[in-house]
Amino acid sequence: MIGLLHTLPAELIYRILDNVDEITLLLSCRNVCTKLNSIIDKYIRYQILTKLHLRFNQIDSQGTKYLAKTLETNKTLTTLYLGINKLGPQGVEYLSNTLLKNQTLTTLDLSLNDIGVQGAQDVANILLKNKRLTIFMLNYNHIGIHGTQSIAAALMKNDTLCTLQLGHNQIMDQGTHYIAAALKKNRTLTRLYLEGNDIGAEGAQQLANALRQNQTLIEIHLGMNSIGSEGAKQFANALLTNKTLTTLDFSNNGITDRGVGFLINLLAENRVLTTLILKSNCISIQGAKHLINAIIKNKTLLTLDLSNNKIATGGNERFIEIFQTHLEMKIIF
Amino acid sequence: MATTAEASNTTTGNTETATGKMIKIQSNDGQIFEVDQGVVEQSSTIKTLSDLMDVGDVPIPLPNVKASILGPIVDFCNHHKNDQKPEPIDEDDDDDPNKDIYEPKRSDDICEWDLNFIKQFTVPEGTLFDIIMAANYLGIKTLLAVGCKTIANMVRGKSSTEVREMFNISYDPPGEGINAPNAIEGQAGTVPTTQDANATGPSPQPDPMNQ
Repeated sequence: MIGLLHTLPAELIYRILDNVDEITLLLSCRNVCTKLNSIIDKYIRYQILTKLHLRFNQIDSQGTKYLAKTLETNKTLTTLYLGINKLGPQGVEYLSNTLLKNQTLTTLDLSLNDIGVQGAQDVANILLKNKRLTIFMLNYNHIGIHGTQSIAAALMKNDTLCTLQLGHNQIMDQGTHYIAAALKKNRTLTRLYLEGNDIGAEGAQQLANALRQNQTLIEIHLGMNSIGSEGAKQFANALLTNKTLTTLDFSNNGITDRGVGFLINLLAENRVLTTLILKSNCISIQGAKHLINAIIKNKTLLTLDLSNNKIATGGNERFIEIFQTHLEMKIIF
Repeated sequence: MATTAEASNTTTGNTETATGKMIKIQSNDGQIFEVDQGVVEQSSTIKTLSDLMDVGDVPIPLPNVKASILGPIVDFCNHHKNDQKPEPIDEDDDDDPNKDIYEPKRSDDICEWDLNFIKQFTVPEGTLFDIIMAANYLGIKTLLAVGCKTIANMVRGKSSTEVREMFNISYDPPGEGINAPNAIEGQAGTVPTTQDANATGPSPQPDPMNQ
C-alpha cells in the first residue's frame, strides 16, 4: 500500500478541502492524522466555521459519537444545532463526555431528540462540569419530572448558563417545584422557557415565590400551560418586589378578566416589566380596557399582546385606534 | 466568448499553426509523446516551456512526471481539447471577487468520461495522488479539479477512522516523523514520486487516535 495522503503537498490538500462541505470537513477530515489536523487548523473555512446547522439530519448516537470526537479538539465551533435528530440518551452521553473538555461551544440545541430521563442525567452532568455553555435548548425531549429534578439540581450549581429551553417535557407542577428551588439559588440564568409542560396554578405559585428571591431572571415563558387566573395572581403578587423580570409570557393559559385584575394591580407598582404576552387567553373587551388604562399610568410596558382573546372588535375600533395612536407602545389585538 | 470548437481554436492565438505544429514532451523515464497545440494549450507548464525555448524537434523534458501518468494525461487533454472553455475553472477562480470562498465547490459535476478516466487511478497504487500532483505540476486545472473532487467524493460520509483506512494513514505522534514542523512546508512545490512516498511513508503502528 503506497497511496498516502501524506504525499500531497498542503496546497493540494487545501484544493481538495475546497470541495468538501462543512460536515465532511468536521466529521470525516478531522482527527485522521496530526498532519491533516494541522493543515485543517490553518484552513480558512475551518477557522470561520463557528455555527453548524445539523437540524433534521437523522443523526443517531453513532453519528453523535463522531461529532463528539471532533468537538474534543475543535476550537472554532460556538453554536451547534442538533435539534430534531435521533441522539437518544446514548448520544447525549457522548456529548456530555466531550463537553467536559470543550471550551468553545456556547450554544447547544438538542431539542426533539428523545433524550428522556436518562439523557437528562447527562445534561445535568454537562451543566455541572462545563463552564462555557450559555444557551441550551432541550424542548420536546420527554425529560419528565425526574429528569427535571436532575437538571434543576445541576442548575443550582451552574454559573454560566443564561438561556434554558425546557418546553414540552411533561414537567408538571411537581417538576416545576424543582425548577423553582433552583431559581432561588441560581445567579446566572436570564431566560427560562417552560411552555407546554402542564404547569397549573400550584407550579405557578412555586415559580412566583422563587422570583421573590431570584434577581437575575429577565424572561420567563410559560405559554401553553394551565396556570389560569390563580397563577396570574401568584405572579402579580410576587413580582411586586422583583426588580429584574422584563418579559412575562402567559399565552394560552386560560386567564380570564379576573386574572387581568391581579395583573392591573401589578402594573400599578411594577416599573420593570416591558413585555406582557397574554395572547390566546379568555380576556374580554372589559378586561382589555382596564388593562390598557393601567398601562397608561405604568409607562414602562412596551409590548402588550392581547391577540386571540374574547375581544370583539366590533364597535371597539375607535377605542383601539385611540390607544394605538396615543401610546408609544405596541398593543397587539 | 468561444462557444464552438472552431471558435475555441481561433482563440488560441496561433490559428495557422494551431493544428499543424506538434510538440514533443518527454517523461522522466524517457518516453516521448507528441502532442498538438490543442493539448499544449491546456497545460500552462508545457505552454510556458514551449514558448520560452524554441524547442524545434527537441522534446521538452518533464522531470516530475513518469510515462505511466503522462500517457493518460495526454489522452485526457486530447479528449478535452475541443471543449468550450469552462470560465470559472479555466480562469484563476481564486481571484474571482464574486465567488464566496467559504462555500464548498461543487464536486458532483464530474462528467461521465472524466469519471471513467479517473477510475484507472487508485489510492492503493498511489496513482490517484500521482495524477493530481502531475496535473498540478503541469498546470492542467480541469484535471486537477477532477482529481480533487474525486477525493472529496471518496471522503464524504466517512468517519475519520474510515478515511484513515482508505488512505492507509497511521497516526503520527505530534512533532515527529512526517508531522515534524517543517515537513508540510518542505513538501510544497515538489512532486515526489510514489517510490519516494513509499520510502518516507509512516509504518503501521498502534493508533492512539482510534480509541
